[in-house]
Amino acid sequence: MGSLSTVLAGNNFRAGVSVTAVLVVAFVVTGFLSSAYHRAGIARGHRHYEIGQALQRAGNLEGAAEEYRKALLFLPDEPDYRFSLCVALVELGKLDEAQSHLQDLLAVDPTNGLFNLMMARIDERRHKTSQAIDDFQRAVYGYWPRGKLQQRHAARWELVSLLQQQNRPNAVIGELLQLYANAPDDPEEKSKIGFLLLHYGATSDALNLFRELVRDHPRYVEAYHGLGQAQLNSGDYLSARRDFQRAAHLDPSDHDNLKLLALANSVLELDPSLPRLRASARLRRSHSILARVLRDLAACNAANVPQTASVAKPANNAEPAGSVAPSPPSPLQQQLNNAATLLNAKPTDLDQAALDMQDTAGQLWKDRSAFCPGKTPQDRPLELVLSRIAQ
Amino acid sequence: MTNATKWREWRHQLTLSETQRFLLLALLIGIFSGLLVVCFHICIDWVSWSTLGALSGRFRLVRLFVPALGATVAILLVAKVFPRAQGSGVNQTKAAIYTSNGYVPSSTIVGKFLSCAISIGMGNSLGPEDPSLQMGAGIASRLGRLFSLERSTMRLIAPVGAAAGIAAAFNTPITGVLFVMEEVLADWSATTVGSIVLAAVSSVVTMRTFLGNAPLFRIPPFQLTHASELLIYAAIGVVGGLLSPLFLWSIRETRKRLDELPHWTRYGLPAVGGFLTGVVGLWFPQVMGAGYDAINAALHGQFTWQVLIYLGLLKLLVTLFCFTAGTPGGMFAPVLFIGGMLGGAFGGLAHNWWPFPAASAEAYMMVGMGVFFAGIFRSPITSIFLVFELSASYVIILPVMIANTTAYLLSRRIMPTPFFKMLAQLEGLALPSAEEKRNFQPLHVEDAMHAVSSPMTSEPGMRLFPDEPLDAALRLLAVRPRIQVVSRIHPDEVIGTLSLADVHHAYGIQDEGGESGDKLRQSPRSTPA
Repeated sequence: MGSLSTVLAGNNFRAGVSVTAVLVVAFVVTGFLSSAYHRAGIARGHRHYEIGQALQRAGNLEGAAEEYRKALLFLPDEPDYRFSLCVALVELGKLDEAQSHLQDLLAVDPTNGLFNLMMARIDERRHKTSQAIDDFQRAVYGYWPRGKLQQRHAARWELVSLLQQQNRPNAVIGELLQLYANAPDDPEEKSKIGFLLLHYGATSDALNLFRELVRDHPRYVEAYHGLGQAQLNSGDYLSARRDFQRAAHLDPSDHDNLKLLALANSVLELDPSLPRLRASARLRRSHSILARVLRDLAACNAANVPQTASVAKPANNAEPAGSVAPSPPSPLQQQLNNAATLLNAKPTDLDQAALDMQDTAGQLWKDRSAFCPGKTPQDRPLELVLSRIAQ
Repeated sequence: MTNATKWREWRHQLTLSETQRFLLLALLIGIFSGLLVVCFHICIDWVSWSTLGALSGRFRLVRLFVPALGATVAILLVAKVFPRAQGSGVNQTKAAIYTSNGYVPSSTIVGKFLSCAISIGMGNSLGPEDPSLQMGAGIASRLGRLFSLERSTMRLIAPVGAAAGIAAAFNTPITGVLFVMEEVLADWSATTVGSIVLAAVSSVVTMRTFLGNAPLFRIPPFQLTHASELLIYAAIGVVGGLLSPLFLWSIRETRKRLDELPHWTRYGLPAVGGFLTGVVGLWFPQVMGAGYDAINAALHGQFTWQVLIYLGLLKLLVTLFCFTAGTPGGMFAPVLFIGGMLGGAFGGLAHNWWPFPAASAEAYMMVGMGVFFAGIFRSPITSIFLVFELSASYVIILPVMIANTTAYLLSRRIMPTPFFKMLAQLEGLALPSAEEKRNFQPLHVEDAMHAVSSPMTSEPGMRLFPDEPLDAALRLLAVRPRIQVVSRIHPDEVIGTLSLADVHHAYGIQDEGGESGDKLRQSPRSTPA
């Protein structure tokens, strides 16, 4: 510093020294002032923040937001203050302002899960669904401050809910599996995930989940109930009945479970593909299936399926004399005729007859939409058996 | 060789030239200015916290009187203790350059510091940048005197300090440099630019060391949503171009009326301005002080476009009161506030009603600031770079260029006198306007010469090129009555001749009688008989 002052001053060495001394003093004074200024700012900011939190707890959101704003005047770089302001603003419905502050926060910390979650909620409230989904995903895959991990879990549930609303089953299944992988040891939450997986058709994942749940919580009714449903969906009716029975044993008052147990029983009584059935039993069950298919078709749309009754007994319907030669029957008509023939025939090869009946029933069931447009089948056991046969 | 001899030699080797010393001094000026601006900033905040901050809540009504009290104390300080600290700051710095060889009294630094910290801190609607500029110039002048700089160098030292002061105040080094080059100095050399840059950068670095790197405004990300938005930005430019001359006219007329009042009223007028600010501040406290907190709040979408209009217009009104009343403080911050709020309001309207996608209102605030800055201060380049530097967004350049240029041209057409020149006139100073100096087109030889009908071969001796300044020709004409003008491409070919009468004619000097008088009646470009 001395040499610098010499250089600067040229011949005026004294001026150089005095400038150097003043500079040092100025630095010290400014440093002292700014340090005191920062301390005062921190104290004031913290005081406003605490008042804001108290007001927020008391439900005075407007007052809380105002205090948070004041706190930010003193400490604009304090993320907690800004985030608290965002939370208050979102609750007040001041989404523009909240979003603006969140953008500030995200500019500094773009992978913060909490900030992205808040942004996602704002987007969701503004019906910007695709942006909200992106933000939720950033939130759940971002980092979370220590002690806030529970909120990440909640964020994922919010994402699942949004994806459900958007009818995106594959994405829902993906998030549910992630939820399950990171789920706490809470049988209720796990069974909720399992039932949602079942709902969205991820049967094998649900099956694994409920099996694990049964193993870990053998006294938990929902685990058996869920496992039973998963078995039912996968076509293992015997196992399904066993699990429903266990659930009924643990909680006999569960009507839903009893209904499903009844369904499993009905399916098992109807299913011709069960092992160790005699040929006559298999034929009887196949006959019953075909008859129920025709009944279902007749019930769903009597106007469109009048022929079913007539074709069921073709021998009794002599054609009137002088009538015009009939046109060749349609494939559908042919199937109905075939079904009627099969029902009335006296088979010699029981196994073959059973198979024919099952094929015809399956074919008619497949073409059901032509008979009954827009109507869902009422005969649930029949539906399950036929889907099993189709497999 | 003895140690003393070695030492002397070493010192001799290290002795720097005047230019090198000037550059090093610029660095020191920047550091000192940065430190001073930090203290100034802290002082303003402390005054504000201790008065307005402590009087919120149930003492809200006291807010009415705080700005008036601050303005009275500040004006008494300026009038009785620091009389050289009067004025806007920019003109006083220019005066130091043009009339007093860069001399800015040291008392100005103390006077500006105290009076402005009190008036701005206590809520008067003025800003800290112009005072920072003048304080920077004061520091530079003090250091220049201390190191006994030559007179020609001393004249350049005040702008160096001014750049350092304003750069630290805005936390924008480029803007500081450009403003001084555009507004304070019309001509500059490489050394001047180098020292100004050095001072601005060192002051900003010093300032950031103590106050942090946070920018003056926290700007949300800017994006141009649709090309049609450029029309909205141009419209903001038109509105700014119409409003800014109106504001200038209001300042001039109000100031004239107030100057006609008896002399003793000058002590009471700032209090009246402060009281009116307090009245408005009861309902809209955002207009009090420099207003940067309110700008930041608006940039975060705290206000609707209707509130932004109120705030912009009310700030315009209270700034008019405070500034024309003579309360110490600057105009940069209020101008940014007014422009920002009105730009934001315009953006809010566009966001709601424009048929194409439009950015949020906050994006328009930044453009509005630049527009009003360009319209009032007539520093178009500074206004563009100010917004660019504050927003740290390259995308904003295009809208800002369109809007600012529109506002600048329109404002200039409606009211040709720029703000600082107008103030200088009101303060009785005859200072050159940088804008006028820029517009001044020096005449060249080709503007005055008589073209020859057919090219002639040049004679040996003195000759001129057509693009040389006419002033240079005068030196030659003092020796010879007529000089040949030769082509740049073919220096042997004479394309015209130049006489003293031609020069007089070109400058519009009427010479009664004689040869030159006859020639004045001819076109200078006509071929001589």
